[in-house]
Amino acid sequence: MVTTALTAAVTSVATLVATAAATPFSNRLQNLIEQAPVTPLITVPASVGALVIICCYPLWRGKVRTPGRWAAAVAAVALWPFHQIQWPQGLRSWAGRMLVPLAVGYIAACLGAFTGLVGLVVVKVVAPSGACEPPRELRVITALENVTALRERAEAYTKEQRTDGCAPVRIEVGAAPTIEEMRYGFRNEWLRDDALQNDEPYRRMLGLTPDAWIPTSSAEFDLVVQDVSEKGGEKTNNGDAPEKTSSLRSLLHKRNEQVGTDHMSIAVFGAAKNDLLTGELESAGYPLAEIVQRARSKGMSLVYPQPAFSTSGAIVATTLSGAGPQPGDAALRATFDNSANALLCHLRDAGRERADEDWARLVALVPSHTADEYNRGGDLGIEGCAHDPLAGRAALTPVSSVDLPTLDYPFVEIDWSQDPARRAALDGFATWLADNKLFEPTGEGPQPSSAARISADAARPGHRVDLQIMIDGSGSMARSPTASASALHDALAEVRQILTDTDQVSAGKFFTDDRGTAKAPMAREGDGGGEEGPGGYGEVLRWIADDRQSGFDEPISRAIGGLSHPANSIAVITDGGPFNDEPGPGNAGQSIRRAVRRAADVSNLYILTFGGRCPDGLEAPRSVRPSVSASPSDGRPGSSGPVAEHVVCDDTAGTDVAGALGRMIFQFREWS
Amino acid sequence: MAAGPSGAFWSRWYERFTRFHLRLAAACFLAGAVFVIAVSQHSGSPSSQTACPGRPDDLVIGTGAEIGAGGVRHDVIKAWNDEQRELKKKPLKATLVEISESSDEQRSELAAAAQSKRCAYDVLLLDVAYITEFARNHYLEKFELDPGKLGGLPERYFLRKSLETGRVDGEQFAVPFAADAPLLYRRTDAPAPPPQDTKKFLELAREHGYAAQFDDYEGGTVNLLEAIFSAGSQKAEDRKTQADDLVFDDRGDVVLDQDDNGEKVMDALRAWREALFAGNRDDTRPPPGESALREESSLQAFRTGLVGYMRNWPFAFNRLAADPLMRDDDGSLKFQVLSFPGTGVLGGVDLAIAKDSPHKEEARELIYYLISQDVQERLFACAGYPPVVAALYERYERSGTARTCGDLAADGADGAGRPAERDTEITGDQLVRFAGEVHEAVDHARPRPKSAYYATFSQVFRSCLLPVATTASGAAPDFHYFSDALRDALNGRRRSDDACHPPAQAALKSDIRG
Repeated sequence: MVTTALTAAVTSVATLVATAAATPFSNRLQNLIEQAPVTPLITVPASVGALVIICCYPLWRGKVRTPGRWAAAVAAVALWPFHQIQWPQGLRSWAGRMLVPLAVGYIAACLGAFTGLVGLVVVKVVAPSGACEPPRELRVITALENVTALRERAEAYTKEQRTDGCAPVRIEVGAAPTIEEMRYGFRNEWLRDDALQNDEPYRRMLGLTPDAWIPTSSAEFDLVVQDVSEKGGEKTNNGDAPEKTSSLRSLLHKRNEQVGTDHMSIAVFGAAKNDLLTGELESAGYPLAEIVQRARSKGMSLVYPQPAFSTSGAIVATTLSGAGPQPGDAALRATFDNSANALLCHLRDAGRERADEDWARLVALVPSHTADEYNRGGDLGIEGCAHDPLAGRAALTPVSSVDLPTLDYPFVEIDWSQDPARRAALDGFATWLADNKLFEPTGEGPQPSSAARISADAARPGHRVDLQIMIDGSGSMARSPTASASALHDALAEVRQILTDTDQVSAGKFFTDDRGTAKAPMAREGDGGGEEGPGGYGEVLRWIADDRQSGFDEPISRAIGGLSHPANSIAVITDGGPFNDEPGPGNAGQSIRRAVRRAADVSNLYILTFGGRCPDGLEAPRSVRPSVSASPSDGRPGSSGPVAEHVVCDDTAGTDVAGALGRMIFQFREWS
Repeated sequence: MAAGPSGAFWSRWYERFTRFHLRLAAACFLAGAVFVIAVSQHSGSPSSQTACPGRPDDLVIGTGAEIGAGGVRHDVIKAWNDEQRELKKKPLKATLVEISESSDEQRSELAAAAQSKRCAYDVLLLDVAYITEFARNHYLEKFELDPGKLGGLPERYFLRKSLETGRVDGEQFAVPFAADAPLLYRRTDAPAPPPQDTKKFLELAREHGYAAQFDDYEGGTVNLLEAIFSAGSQKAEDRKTQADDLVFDDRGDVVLDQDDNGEKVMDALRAWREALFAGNRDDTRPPPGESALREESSLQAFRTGLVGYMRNWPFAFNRLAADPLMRDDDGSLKFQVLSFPGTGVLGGVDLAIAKDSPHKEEARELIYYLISQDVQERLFACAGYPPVVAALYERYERSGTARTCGDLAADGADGAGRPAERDTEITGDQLVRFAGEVHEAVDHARPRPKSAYYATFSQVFRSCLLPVATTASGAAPDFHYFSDALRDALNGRRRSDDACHPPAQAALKSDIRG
């Protein structure tokens, strides 16, 4: 008994010591094994050995002294197919003479090889080396608003794992694409659904191919996986992309532990905190319906990120659909922003640009930690959004509500390569992250207990859009680095996820030819849902990418006037050149307005300018800079009088073509 | 002790063991050891076609996003595919896979693909900052350049400095695809005159505003290095001879702690900070804490007239030239491109073959096609990729003009349907001037330190020096300690404590490693 216990103890201690001694070298040893030239190290000795045995074969069959029965037995089995052959006596005699030298040489060579191998391992693994072994590359994605926190944690983990200053892993953190994109990407090698690639010699990825994904909530994970199991055998939107129909269950492995805990919150500026968050509402747990009612009475708006692009936006939209206030409420609306951080960044811009405190009347429905991050300063992970720490009236106070859900942050491993070493490294990070969570519950107000839900329908707004996209067909537009045909094709493919099956989309170009004759070739009309067939959205995309017609700038007013069957909403995409050709210098805005008024079927015009500047007289769309929508006049941006049409121009898109198109479609939906 | 049957066996062997056998055993022992060592030294990870099950039979090029307009890169690949279809019975189709706009994400993706040995890519379009890492980690196949296919020696065919970016430890692993070096963009519609030297430029920048990339990312490291390299550089002509080895020398050894290099670095960074942030007298520019710019935000600041000068890479030229806002009514450009007033850091993108590619020969053919003079000319004229072919620059210089994208398109079959608007197209003269500035910038640029751990070096470097360049409170680190931290970083090692300790604290922590 005692002996057994002693043996066990000694064994445990020895194992521990051996593990501790080997740990610093484990990464190097693993790399060495992975890079070892296995094929020549096995095949060369084996073939030499086979040669020796073949040479010995005649000895066994002849009367020459047999070196041992065991050798004879092995040779008998291995060389049985040759036992009928009558070897010449000379060969037998030669083989007999060669037996000992061959055996000696072979054994010595094997011993030498083994000694060399051991020496190499010692030198490469144990001996101190100048440079570290290359770390294992891990890629982790999460929603944009979680990226900063995850990067900090990844850095802390890597720091903890260092041995002799060398990190065994390097963790690259990237922003996760939308739910819709992930549904497609996980089934298609993480490639973007660019629709109708046909013979195009390029594909685009959805950013980093993730080894792990941290969804904002389990509901997001369920939606991605559930969708696949339901639609596994269906075709994609464009109807022709080859898909992997195998279940994602074997690819995506959701771990049991959470790596963060947070909740959706009502984030209100210090300047307006007392207006909205009354003691009465606090004691009731800040019910959403009453918050919205009070916001309306105080001329405030509650805003949340675009549900089609942002998981937290989709969570808010789903919650609202069952919590009383309707998404269509004037004091409650989604913005075009693709993340909570982008929304807060725009709020910051609004605060910076306005001298009054109107900006404080905007209230954000966002995860609690994003409001804290906003107050801490920094760039929120968005280029150009850097700001100093905020306090007092400019800072946000996040409070929870009995109606807003909690957010768990599960850790999902994705086994693309089925590499055990990669999986082990991920397990290590996940376990550590569960103990060092991304977020802990903070903020004022009641602690909500309901888990987040996401409804696919809530992510898609209901108003139908009848849209005609008119693309500037001038030569300068064709050369635009931002809005060239291929860039527009890709961007339109990307925004397809915010179009519904009932939306109608068509596209055309406008330009004049060498003789000044106006041209407006049209693509076929297609439904936004992307049904298969010639009338599909894909057909429109294909036409945009393939059509090479171009000419000179044509005034937008003339292009609108020349449309034979215009849609209710017209989108003009231009580099700004056509503004210079409008009749009446300096009056481009008025000229365009007049043209819209004359076109009886056109109610809305949204001009998207990449490069140039919008002319005077055309207002910016409201959703570019969030503003209060309490007064009726503000409710119709772009309309200066009692006319029913909306005419706006956006020149702030930068290089984000898809984002600008998304904002535009969203604006049309609000107008419809 | 009586000998058993096995004992008898061994004694029989021993009896027959002669001096000849002893020598033979020694020789074979040695040969076995040498064989193992040789095989281990000369082979990286195994690669063969059988290691790539399920891999589609095409030629995959892993790359970042396109910088230019109209998918010119796609057109070039399409043309190669068409050519292959005519030449071969069963050609491999080349496909560009655009990974991400972020260079860091692109690096991570390609490295992870190489580690997982999924044979995901055949050809890599890789930022020159990461060539050393990929080569030393055995992710790349060696690339022996064939003078026959280039029509001459590689050293004459390519820009010398661009060719060097693909050489690691004396061997060529990558081939230059696009040259890159920083340029100075100046608004001509603002009273921002062209600077004569670095000192004068800093004064002008203070007055007219300057957009550079001092945010916390790899571009921030590059801008810091350039500010330091440019210290003491007074005239453009002096740049070749100046002693700008303040951070590392030509061999890549860190020399920041030698002589008074640390002091010089601090002086240089303070001067640039003054130029960047102290000139905001009229409050038209955001405060320092809110003005951390990167390439794209710099471009917007310059485009909207917030600043009179901008430091940026050559890609910005095409973006600005195609922008109607940057053109006068007569179509002339509202900005001028100049070589960087100091010493820039060499950039660029190289082509390499993935070690685990099952199509190495085809990949090689594609690379030779992409670096051919015709393709390089087209990529430059139509998309703004600065060429790496020296003869192209010589031709531009000799003839004084260049074929525009419109000219090249008209030569091709697909160009007929694209009438050009002469008021916004980049002219041949503009291309020539632009090419001249790029050539000079590449010639005068210095490479980043060659290390498989450049990313680690970059992180440590800017963690200490970025605050000095961007905030008034940024203190000087102990340069001996900081230099040791940088040397460790070049070997992939990070210290557990802060590498930026001021001198007194650093002495106590000199032995700490995490």
